[in-house]
Parts: sequence; structure tokens; C-alpha cells
Amino acid sequence: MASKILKTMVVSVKAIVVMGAILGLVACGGASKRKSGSEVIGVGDNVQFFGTNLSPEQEKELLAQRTYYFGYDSNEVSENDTLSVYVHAKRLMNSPNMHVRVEGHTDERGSREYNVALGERRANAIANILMLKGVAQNQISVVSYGKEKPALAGHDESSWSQNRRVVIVYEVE
Amino acid sequence: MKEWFEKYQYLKPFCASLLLHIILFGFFLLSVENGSSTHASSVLANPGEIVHAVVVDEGQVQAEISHLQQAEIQQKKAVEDKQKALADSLDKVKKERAQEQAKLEQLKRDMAKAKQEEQNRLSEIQIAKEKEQKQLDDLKQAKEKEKNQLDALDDQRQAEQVRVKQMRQEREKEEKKKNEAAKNQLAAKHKADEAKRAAGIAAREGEKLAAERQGFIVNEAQKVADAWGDKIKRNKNQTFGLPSGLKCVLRIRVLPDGNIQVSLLKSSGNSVHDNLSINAAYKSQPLELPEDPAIRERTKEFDIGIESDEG
Amino acid sequence: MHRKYLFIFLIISLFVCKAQAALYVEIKGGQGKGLPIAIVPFSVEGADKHEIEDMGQIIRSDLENSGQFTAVPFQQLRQSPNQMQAVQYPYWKTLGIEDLVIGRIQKVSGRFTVNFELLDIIRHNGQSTAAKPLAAMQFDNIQAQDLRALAHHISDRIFEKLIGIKGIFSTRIAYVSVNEGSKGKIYTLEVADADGHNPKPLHRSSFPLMSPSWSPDGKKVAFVSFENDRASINVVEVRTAQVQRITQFPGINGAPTWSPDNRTLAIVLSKDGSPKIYTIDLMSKQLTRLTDGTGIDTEPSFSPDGRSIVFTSNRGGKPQIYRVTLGGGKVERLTFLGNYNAKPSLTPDGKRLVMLHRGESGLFSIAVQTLSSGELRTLTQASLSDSPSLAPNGMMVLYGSEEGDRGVLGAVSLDGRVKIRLPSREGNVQEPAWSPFASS
Repeated sequence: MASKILKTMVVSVKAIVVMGAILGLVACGGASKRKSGSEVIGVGDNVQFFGTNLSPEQEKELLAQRTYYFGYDSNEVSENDTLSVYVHAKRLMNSPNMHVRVEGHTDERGSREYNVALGERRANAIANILMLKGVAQNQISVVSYGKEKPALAGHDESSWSQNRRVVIVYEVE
Repeated sequence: MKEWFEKYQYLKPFCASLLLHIILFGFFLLSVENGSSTHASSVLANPGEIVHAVVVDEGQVQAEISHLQQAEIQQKKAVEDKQKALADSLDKVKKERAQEQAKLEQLKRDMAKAKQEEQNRLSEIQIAKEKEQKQLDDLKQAKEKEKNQLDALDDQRQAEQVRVKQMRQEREKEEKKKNEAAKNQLAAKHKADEAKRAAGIAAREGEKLAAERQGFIVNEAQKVADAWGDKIKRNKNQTFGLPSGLKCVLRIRVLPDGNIQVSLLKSSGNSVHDNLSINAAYKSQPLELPEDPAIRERTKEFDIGIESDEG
Repeated sequence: MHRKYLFIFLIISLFVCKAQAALYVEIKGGQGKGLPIAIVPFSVEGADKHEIEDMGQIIRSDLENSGQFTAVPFQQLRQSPNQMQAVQYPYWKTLGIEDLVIGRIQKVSGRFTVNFELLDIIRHNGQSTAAKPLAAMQFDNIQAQDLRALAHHISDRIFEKLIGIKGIFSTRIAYVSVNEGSKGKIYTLEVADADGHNPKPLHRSSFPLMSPSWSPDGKKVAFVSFENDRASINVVEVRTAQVQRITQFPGINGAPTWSPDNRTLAIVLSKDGSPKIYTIDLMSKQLTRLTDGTGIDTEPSFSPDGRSIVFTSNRGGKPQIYRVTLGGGKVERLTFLGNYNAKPSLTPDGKRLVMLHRGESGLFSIAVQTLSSGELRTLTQASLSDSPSLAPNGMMVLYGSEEGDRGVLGAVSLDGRVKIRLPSREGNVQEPAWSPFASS
């Protein structure tokens, strides 16, 4: 009878220890969940934000940006603009029924059809960021207007810099 | 009995306490046995319940123990696996972040480079602009200077023309005189040589003078014709779009009043060019005739080749 | 003794006579102000002259705008003959003109009979009666609304006779007109006479229209539309304004241009990645790709013999002009001066290339390059020009330019001498395309 008592005592102690360990791990897991963002995403989410974490206000501001500007003869997307496009990408991936039209534009210098091609390069630069982040191709259409639809009608750099742009237009919101 | 009892009086409480201890220990044992087969909490929740002790088979207990041990091992393993998976994904997250960081650095460097290049280009354009402005100013100045020069030249030319006319007249007078003198000389020479028998010498002398005279006439006639060519060029209108390098040749007959008759000696192959050339000739009449009749004789007819300019 | 002198004299005179034919002069060029001419206002009989076109004025504007003629202003004319017999040559000689145009319009039972004569003033020696005219024509049964077109036709005849090259006064132009509507911009594809008169809209849209291109038979115009924010290539029939869609692939559908045999369009599509040149057979709709690579190839234009295509490409880094032969695929670079050359077209003789050019000055201008020598001449000095379009006789170029805040059209001769601004209208006018000689 003494050995039985001893054995049960040992078993119950082990059980207590194991349960304690499990509880502890769950608690730790819960803590790391809270660290990765304000919305509920699975652990190991693939949207990177350059090492920073965005607040809902920051995300809203970036989402409100629809126009991205370019240097002369360039289709390089700036760092800040890339961040905004990332946020749009996330939105599109969360809503597969949404569709955007990415419009490319240039300033008025040079021939018209060559400018259509330059505008397409800019629009593709933005569209490629969306697709690299995982947005489906059938959610994006690209059109280039070249120099046909300037934002400003002036004939100097202050107008031209505002015309070299790509605009994201949500066709179904 | 009484004696035994009185003899060991100190044993009375001892036995009582021992009995109590045994009873208590028994309770304790029973409660523990209960705990091994039901939840500890249920024992705590129902302290008044009578617990039924269950006889457990040694083998069963053993099996249960090993079963529990297995479960414990599996659970441990599961926990370890989960820990490992977590560590892996954390690693992955760290790696991707590092990559992004690197990309960001690269982007920043490229941006800086592009900015620098843009600035360089802007400053180059600025320099080119300034250069061009200076060139335009220089050009303006040069143009003005040229205009003044042209005006001065015009005045000079008019004065020159008057002078040339005068000189020509004087020269023609002189030439007339010279010719007379030469003629007289020739006549005298002929008279003198008549005495000599060498007809060859006389002939040679005559030829030499004739040649000199002829040379003079030829030169002057060419000058006259050149002047007429200039006049025709000034009167020639141009169209553009004609093939380049067109050339026609006209034969011009100069009448005694200075008017002309033009015939197309050789066509350029293009009737527009031919017609423009013929018209230019007609527009130039009446031509100024030279005073020396010998030169006039020589310039009664001349050919002129007219070439079209780059269209 | 006398015989001796005779002998000597004969020898001398022989020498003199032989040298006579050797008198020779050569000149090159002349004064470059164009042919001086005069046009007498056409007389009008049987109708009120204010009710019909002033044909003399139309002919005078045509000839002067070509840059080849300088016409005496009407108010300086002191005589107005309308028949050859009435021409007093001494008077006209004093004006220093080479040629004279006279004419008369007579209304006969509701229609018009028009006569004109082109007379040479210089060679007339004033002695014989009316000399043979350089040109004399009569046109019968003309309706009032066709008198303007007839005047242009007469200008063509005069031009051809005196310059030796076909005139372009009966050709048309197509262009895009952009105006502010109540809800945004309105884009209209229009055609008009070469002098800007009689504009007629062919297609209208609230989305941009681009790149008009005439078919060689002058009956159709191809163009690019962005209806519903998607690019497509379309063809509109000039007479009926009926539109037919040709392509609407994803991405760029642009720069349509016709082959000389009227059967194929060369176009630009980016459906395979980057913008490339294709031809599409208009009957079978079969596509053939002509260029490769990952760069931008655009703005194709057929050579006059239809065997090669010149186009803009940035395969060398900056936009330059290249030529590709059809069926062979050999690509050859044509431009080496300047850092931006685009929108090429070849003159009808295939020897010169007209383009949009940017040199060291940084300004965009219209330029012409002689292919054999590589020599390049800029024709315009405005800082913002685009869309050069050659006249079918290869002598003038239409182009788009900015004046103040408006888009306007200009024309310049290939020797750079003559510059014209077409009559301005409200709104913006851009992207001119010159029709071929045959046009409907």
C-alpha cells in the first residue's frame, strides 16, 4: 500500500508540472501574437514594412495616396511611394473582387506615341510592385495616356513635374 | 486489569494519542487513495462524500503509468516541435526583414545617385542655356556690325562704280589713242620694211602686234561677258524642290541696241530650270555695250551656262 | 604686194572668227525670293460677285503660302484684264513679274463656267499679238459650292507648270481638336482643306483621340481611341464617318500607319511585354511581329516603296530612328545627331527623313536629314513642336506647336524658307496628318 501511494503521488506531481509548462507556453504564444499588429493575421505574416510597424492612421494615410510622381525620363518608384503601394496591395489581396486601373502619364516634351510608351513603363513599375506583393493579375489593368491628359497646363518644370505621374484608380470599391 | 491499568498510568494518554494518530492516518490514506482514481478537485468539492476505495490491478496501473509517460513524451515532443516551428518562422521573419532592409539601403543609394545625376544634368543644361544666350547676344552684335559694314560697302560700291566708269572711259580714250599710235607705227614700219626683202620678218612683226591686240580684245570681251552674266544671275528667280546640279547652256546674240536673242543650246533636262534661265536672260536686256568696236564685235554672241543652286 | 596684205588680213580674220564662239560665262544660283507673279481678280458675269468665292484670292493665297511665289498685292494693280487680248504687256513688264494669271467666271443657267490663262510676261516682245499662254483651261457646269475646290485645282495646275512639281492645294488635313466641355475635355477628330477651310468632324469622344493616319486612297483615317480608359486602334471612313475597331489588345494599341498598297496597317502593341511594331492585314486580321527586344519600338512609318519601315526606338539608350526591312528583319540605325529623334517619315523620293529632333540646345524642333550624307537641318525654332507630317509632294511639313496656351498647327518648307501658321480656331489643335493626293 505504501508503494501505491508513492506511485500516485509521483504521477500527480508529473501531471501538474506538464500542465504548468503547457499553460506557460500558451501564454507566451499569446504575447507574441499581440506584438505583430493591430489586426488579426496569422503568425508569420508576409507583408513587410521595412522593419517599421504601421499604425492604422498611417495605413489610412498611405491608402489615401493614389498618385505617384516621377523624375524626368525615369520610372523609378520612390521609397515612400513603394510603401503606399504596399498598403494598396494588402487591400487588394484582402478583397479579391476589387479592381484597380493603373494609369501612366508623362510631361508634354517629346513625341506623343513615344510618351505613351514611357507612361506605360511608369504604370508597369507600380503594377509590378502590386503583383510582386501577391495581387492577382486580373485585379489590375494598366493604361498609358502619355502626354494626352496633363494635370497642369503650364510649360515649365513646375507643371511638368506634376504631369509625370501614375494614378491608381479603384474601379470597384 | 485494574492493576495493569494503574501500573501503566502514563500509557493511557499514550495509547489514546496513538489510537487517534492511527485513525487520522487512516483517514489520510483513504483520502489519498480516492485522489488517485478521481480528480483532486472533486475530493475538495465534496468533502462529506463517502469514498469508495477501488482495488486496482497492479498490471493495469503499470500500463496506465507507461501510457501516461508516453503521452507525456508526446506532449513534450509536440511542444518542442511547436517551439521549433516558431523559432523557424521567427528566423524567416528576421531574414526577410534583413533583405528588405538591404533593398531599402540599395533604393536609398540609387535615389541619391539619381538625384545627383539629375542635379548634374540640370546644371549642365543651365550652362548650355547660358552659353546659348551669350551666343545669341554675340550673334546679334555681329549682325549689327555686318549690317553697318554692308551699308558702308554699298556706299563704297556705288562710288566704285562711278570711278570704274570714269576709269573705263579714260582707258578707252587711251586705248583709242594707243590704237591710233599703234596703227601709225604699223604703217610706218611697213613703209620702212618695204625696202627690206625679208617678207617673213614683216609678216612676223605684224602677227605679233595683232596677237597682242587680240589678247587685249579677248580679255576685255571676257570681262564684258562676265558683267552681263552677273546681271543675268541677279535677274534669275529660283524655285526650290528642283533636283540639284541642273545646268543648261544658252546662246545669247547681242543686237546693236543691246537687246538680245536667246536660244537654248543645251537643255538641263528640266524644263522649269531652262525656262527660268531663259527668262533671266531676257529680263536683263538691254545689255550695256562696250565702246570699242573690236570688243563689241567679239561680244556679239556668247554662251552662258546656268546652274541651279541647292534647292 | 597687195596680195600679201590680203593674205595677212585673211589669216588674222580667220583667227578672230574662230575665237568668237569661245566666249563663255558661267553662273550659279540666283536671288531666292520666289517667282514674282501677279493674279488679276477673276471677272464675274451673270452673278453677284459677293455671293461666290473670290477665286483670284484663293489662288493667290495658295501660291504665296507655298513659299515659291511673291504675288503683287491686288490694290497695287492698275489694270484688270480678263482676256488675253486685253493684256498690255509693257505695263506688266514694269511690275517686274515673270507670269500673269487672269480669269473669268460666268454664270450660265444656274451653273458656272470658269476660264483662266497663265501668261509669260518676260519673253513677250510686245510686237506680236497675244502670245501662246503657258496654260489655258475652261471648266464648265460648276456648282457654286465647288468653286473653292476649283480654285485650288487651278492653283495646282499653275504650280505644276511653273515649279515642275505637283501642287498640294487640293489635299486635306486631319487633326485632333481638344475643347473644354461642360463635364471635361471633348476630343474631336476632324478633316479640313489644306488651307484649314471647311472643317468636318469625323469622330468625337470624351476620352483622348490620337495619331490620325490617312489611307493611301484618301478614303479612311486610322486613329487611336481611349474609350472607357482602354486603348484601341480604329478606322473611320471619311465620307460616312463610320468607325470600325481594328484592335483592342491589353496594353498599348498605338501609332497606326498605312502601307502604300492600302492593305496593311503597321501598329504598336505592348501585349507581349514591351511596345513592339506589328503589321496587321486588314482583311485577314493576321498579326505579324516585326521587332524584338525589351526596349520601346514605336511610331512606325512605311517607306514609299512599301518594303521597309522606319520607326522610333530606344534600344540604343535614347530615342533614335531605325529602319527595318519587311520579310528580312534587318534593323539599321539612321540617326546619329542629337539625343532625341522620333516620329520619322520619309520623303516621296525616299532620300530624306523628316523627324522630331532635339539637339544640344535642348529644344524640340522639326528637322530633315539627308540619308546619303547624314546632314541634318532644323526647320523650326519653337521650343515645343511635335507631330511632323509630310505633304504628299514632299515639299512641306505640317506640325503641332504651342502658341501661348493653345495648341496650333504650323507648316514649314523643307528648305526652311517658308513658315506658315494655319488659321487658328478656338481650343487646341494638335497632331496634324496630311492627306495623300487622292482624297475623298
